[in-house]
Amino acid sequence: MSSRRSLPLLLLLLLLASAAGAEARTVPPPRMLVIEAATVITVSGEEHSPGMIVIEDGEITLVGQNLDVPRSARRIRARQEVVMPGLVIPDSSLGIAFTLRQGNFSSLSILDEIHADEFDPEPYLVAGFTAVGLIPNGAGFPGSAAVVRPNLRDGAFELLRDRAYLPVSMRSNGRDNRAITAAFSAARKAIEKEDAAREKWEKEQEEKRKKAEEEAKKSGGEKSEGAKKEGEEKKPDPVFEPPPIDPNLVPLVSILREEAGALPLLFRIGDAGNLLHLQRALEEHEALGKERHRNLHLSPSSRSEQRPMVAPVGEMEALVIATPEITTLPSTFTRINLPAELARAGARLVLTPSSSTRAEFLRFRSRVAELVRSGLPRATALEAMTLHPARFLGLDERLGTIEKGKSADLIFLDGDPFAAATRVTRTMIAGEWAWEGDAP
Amino acid sequence: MSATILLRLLLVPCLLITGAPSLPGQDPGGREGDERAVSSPAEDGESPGDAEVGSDDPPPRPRRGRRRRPEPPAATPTPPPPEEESSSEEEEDWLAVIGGTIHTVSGGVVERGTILVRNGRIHEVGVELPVPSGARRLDVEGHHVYPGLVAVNSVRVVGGEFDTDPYSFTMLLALAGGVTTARSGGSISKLTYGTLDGLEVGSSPFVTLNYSTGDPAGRRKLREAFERIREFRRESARHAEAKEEDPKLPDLDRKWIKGLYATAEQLMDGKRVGYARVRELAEIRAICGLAEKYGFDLVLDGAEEGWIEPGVIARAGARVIVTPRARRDRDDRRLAPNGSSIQNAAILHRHGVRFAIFPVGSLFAPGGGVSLSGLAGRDLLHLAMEAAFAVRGGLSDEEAIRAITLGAAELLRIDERVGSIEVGKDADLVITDGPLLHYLSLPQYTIVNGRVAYDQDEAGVLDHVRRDGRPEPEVIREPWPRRLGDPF
Repeated sequence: MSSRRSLPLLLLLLLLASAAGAEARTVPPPRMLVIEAATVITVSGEEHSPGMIVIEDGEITLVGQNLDVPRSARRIRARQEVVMPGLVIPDSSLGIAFTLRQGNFSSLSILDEIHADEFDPEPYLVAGFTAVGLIPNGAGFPGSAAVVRPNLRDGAFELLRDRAYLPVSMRSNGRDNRAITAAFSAARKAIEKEDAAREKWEKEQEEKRKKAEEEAKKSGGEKSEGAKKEGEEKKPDPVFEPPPIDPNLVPLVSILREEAGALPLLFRIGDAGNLLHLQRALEEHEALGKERHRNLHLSPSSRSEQRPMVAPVGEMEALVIATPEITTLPSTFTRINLPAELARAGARLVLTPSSSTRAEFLRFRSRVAELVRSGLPRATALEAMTLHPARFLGLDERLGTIEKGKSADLIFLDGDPFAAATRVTRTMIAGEWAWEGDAP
Repeated sequence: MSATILLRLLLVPCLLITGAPSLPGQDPGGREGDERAVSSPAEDGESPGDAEVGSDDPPPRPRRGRRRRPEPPAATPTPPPPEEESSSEEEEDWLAVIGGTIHTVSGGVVERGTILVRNGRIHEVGVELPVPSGARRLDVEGHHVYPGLVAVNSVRVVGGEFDTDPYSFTMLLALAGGVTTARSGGSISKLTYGTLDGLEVGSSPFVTLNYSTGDPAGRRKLREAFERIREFRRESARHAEAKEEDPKLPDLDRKWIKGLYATAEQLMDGKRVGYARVRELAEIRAICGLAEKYGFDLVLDGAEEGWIEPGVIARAGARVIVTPRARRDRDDRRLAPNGSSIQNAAILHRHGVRFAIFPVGSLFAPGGGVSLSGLAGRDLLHLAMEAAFAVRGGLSDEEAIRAITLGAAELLRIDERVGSIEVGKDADLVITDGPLLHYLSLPQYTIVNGRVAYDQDEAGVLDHVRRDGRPEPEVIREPWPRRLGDPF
């Protein structure tokens, strides 16, 4: 009985379904993606709670509260979750072999050392890092850094930028001091050599030209020969060939010449003494005092003096990459929130995990939370994890905040980013899930 | 050995024990040394209140006729950093240290005196001097002012211009002990805490000589090198005469002068100073004999048995780095006097030997008996305390202080710049809350190049040390953590 009655209904349903299917086939799938979250932390401005983010083609087009969106849009309902821009790590050497490289190797890129297959994106995505600056290990000038985007789906990583910056180690006063001085004076010499060669070449050209003119005057009567010569002179103008420069000096030469494509430098220092030595080593070269090179990477040890560097770093308005640690003054129990003091003094703060390990990546936010609890402003801390590192890597037009026009690199958290038990639930890169481990 | 010599040698320790002065005729060098000692010091010369001090140079070093007076060293000390005479008055930096008891070391004591410092150099020393407007004033009434102490050796306190960590904790501790200048390996540097400006003083003049009795072959080689250089110098003199007559004469071959020969030549030219670690009398005799014969400057490190025959050292004109607390036990199997004596410094001084005092293994030379190991204030047996031990052994206070300031500077050949409070010298000062050699005194300020490099109240490294003989240490009111950033 029941089957007979339901048969026409079933047929009707089938018909309707097929019609809908035909419709779907003709109409393109919705390009628009809408995220509805409990809170959206934009970093660039206010926080929206509840908040909505509209994404089209992997790009954020609209952020706000109670937005009118077309019904056809795909929706991600994350009403229990907090969404914030993906974290940016400016210096990671996870999975990169430790090499005892010491000296000037500026021509090398980290991509020479790491292959996409060797790269493990999982530790980054679990901890919420959506852009990673990879740096080589070693003292002196170990090579340039590259920025990649980890992705579990599309392969190991997607290259965002090769040769993003040039890390320089200044951890040991004696050795690194000499290395830096030697490298830059070698670059300076290379420039002088090239300039001298160019001058000489120009003079030679001038003389050649004069000679040719004189000869042309002498044989001016004979038109046919003159015509021949004109034919010969139509050869392309000779081009000056600069003397070859050591490839490891090329990046340094372009820095000293203040070329547009010159890499910014990042100086890795350990204590206030290193900073003094660094300033002294750099003061010879005017180009190195420029704002784009005022980047410091700070890894203090418990025995080194840090407090005296706060004022000079603030004065320089340097960008400081610091580890989120509360340290003690040497041989005392006096604790110091160095990142907070640096930020207050006027430095642009970037926070980075204490070491390139999965455990440290996972601990990163809670360490930053401790800084926030003891005096670092929340907004500064958020910027130091997202916008400032993106700006340092030269990618602030695409990454770092939730704003119109930026790439939809987002992380979803199950609570406030600075609360103790908060975890990353899923990570989105360019509008697509890169990792959905703990999605509810 | 004849019986008389044996008797004399036996007599010396007996006399020392009874406290009688040493025998004037004990050895030929001794008497001469005595005369020198009498004529040399100018410490007590000036009455307190003299407006100008330190104008007279230290007495020239006595030398025996046979020895050539060396040319002023070319390499060391390096000329002081060029002072910009043309600098405008705005750039001038003045510091006035007012009201302290000034121990100039080279020119007596000035009570309630003022030291005017201009651009890191001592400009004027006197009483009630007018202080220029704009000068930083440091009121140190009731305190004692000494020239900065000079450490003839150090480890990890200060390095060269490229290596020094100007914020190192060891440097801070050394400043807390009053040290302003230290030799570290081949370089001599100031303890410019917090800055690298004015760090380097010069390079060390020392050349380590190994003339140990245990290495006869090495001894022979060194002797031969000196002998050959002496021959060469005679030949050069003859050659120079001949060349005056015949200017076309080819120059002498100098290519072979390298290695040990170069060292020997530098020593005989007075450009460098021979440095030898010696303890036993036999070794002292041997190296002093060498220095006397070939006429080079010598520094003996240790010379624990130097007190037995101080004349040997005096005759060679050698200087000694004395460590009064160093122990060398007496060997009772030997009849001749041996072993160390706390009176070493006093006896050497009485015989005209110039010396510096340096602590037994410590911050400056770890591996010895005492080490700081980062424990600030646990052991402040620094230079001043070691000098106090020499005072216990019979040396005068003035000589003991001289031995850790000007004496040490002379030994390092940097006495043109540091070592005493004199007009024109670097403004390196130690300001203590009591007499320097007293065990309760601590530096309140240490000034390096006219800049307060250490302020006890600010540095805080000795906060836990009882000061002024107070019976109870200060109670730390706030337990850990004492401070956590600054509250907004």
